[in-house]
Amino acid sequence: MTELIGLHHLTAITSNAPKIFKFMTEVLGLHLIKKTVNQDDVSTYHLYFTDDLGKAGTDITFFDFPGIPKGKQGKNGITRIGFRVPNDLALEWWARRFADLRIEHTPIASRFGAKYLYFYDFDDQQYQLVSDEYNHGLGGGDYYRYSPIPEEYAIVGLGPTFVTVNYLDKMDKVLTELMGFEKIDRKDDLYLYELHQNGHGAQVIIEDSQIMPDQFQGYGTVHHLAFALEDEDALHEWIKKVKEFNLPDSGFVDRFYFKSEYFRPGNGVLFELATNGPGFLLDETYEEAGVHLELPPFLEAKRAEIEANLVPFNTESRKGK
Amino acid sequence: MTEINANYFFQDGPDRKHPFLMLHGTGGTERELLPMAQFVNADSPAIGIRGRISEQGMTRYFLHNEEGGFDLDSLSKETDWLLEQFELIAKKLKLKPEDFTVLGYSNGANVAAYSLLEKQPKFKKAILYHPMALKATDKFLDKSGDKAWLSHGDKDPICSIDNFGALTSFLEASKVDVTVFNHPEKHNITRDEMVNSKKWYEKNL
Repeated sequence: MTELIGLHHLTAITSNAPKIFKFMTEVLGLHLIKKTVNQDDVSTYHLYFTDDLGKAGTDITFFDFPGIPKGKQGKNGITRIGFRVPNDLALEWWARRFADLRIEHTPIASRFGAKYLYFYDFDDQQYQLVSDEYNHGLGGGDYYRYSPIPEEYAIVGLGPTFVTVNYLDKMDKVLTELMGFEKIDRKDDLYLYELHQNGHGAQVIIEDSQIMPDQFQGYGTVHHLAFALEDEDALHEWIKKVKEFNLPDSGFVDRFYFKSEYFRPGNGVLFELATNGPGFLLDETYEEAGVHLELPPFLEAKRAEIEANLVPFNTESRKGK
Repeated sequence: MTEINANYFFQDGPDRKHPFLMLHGTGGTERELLPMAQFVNADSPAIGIRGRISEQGMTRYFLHNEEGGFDLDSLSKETDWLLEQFELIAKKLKLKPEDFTVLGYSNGANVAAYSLLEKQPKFKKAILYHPMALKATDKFLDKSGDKAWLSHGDKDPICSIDNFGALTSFLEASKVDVTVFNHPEKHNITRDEMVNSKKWYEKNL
């Protein structure tokens, strides 16, 4: 029975695709490796921001559903997106960078043996940066060669991500008995879980919240969190496992760049299991990636119509310029 | 004689002299604040009333106008409806409207504050999590005897420090006994904040 490896990707909701593109690439220095549309709703962009080559564990994606109202943070949802930076020095550099760019952030603090800070984007989306100074386990992604961030400070990938629930015991069961997580630490209402001693790239923080109103999933909130599996064979084994655990699930879904299974561990929270491959550079070159609007074959015939309904951005490659 | 036509929720409790009226945040429901009400007083009966406005699929207590501001006619009309429904429901459940503490969050807290300032609600006590001033109050009523606890986050993107300051000034000018709790975060409710509201409630029983 193969194991889950760590975080694969996270998908969130933004109010504005060109603005999130600017934030992710210019402020955070990530690589827009794929600009495509939500296959179920072609008026919605689906943007993938990763490391240089789109390695699993470095991927944050966004939908910009038209007309969706602003979300409200609360319980029963995924509530803070984690990223990793190489070390404490890098974290201090980011704190200064956020101050310079007037990005809202908190002072550096310490928790679970690592320094961290919180920051927010223009949608009030909630993020944290965690220092890998004392980290162990999974390495990070590859430095994006055209990143505006110096390599020694660059974000290495996704990090410990918050899930806030009022059903702690049920979530614990799903994490430990189904998914293979181990509860390794606790601070007040926060419980740290880790997959197979794989470190920050394989951790979730479960927040026990009994009283707050529920999260409302509008823009500025997270849609789902995905965990990585080796390949399709592993995925099929895990689909069986999820079904035996009796959780609501999607069954096999082909997402083209990876294959997936979605399931709900409990109210309001959506998890996904996704394969490490095939990856983002099968259908276009590195230079085209993120510039050209990528459409799956069955939508290609409607390209003109689809493009007419989207606000264009990043239409000329600035890579290497 | 008007009828009860609100969507409301009721949970009874042994402390019938201290019931709550719960007013939810945008997108919430009549049940949403029950865990908070129970945290403040687990023995209280609690009524939750759902706003009857729906904008972009989110429940609210009053409309926005075309420019995205607050529709003040809607605010006045809907608040009258809400307060009337509250009295009818309370009486039907054999609870005295004057005994109620209103407990509101965000949109619900805004409407509760507006009621204290510009209407004649029967409730005399208010616990308001992250309220804002919906308009300037220029004529101050005499609400001596009323008590309100309000909270605010310094970095709240929805309610500025100035707006919150104005709200507390208006309430004080109306002779409401105001207690304020601040935290350095945003529109979220913290544990300290909940504990503080509970302590204030217990002191003011």
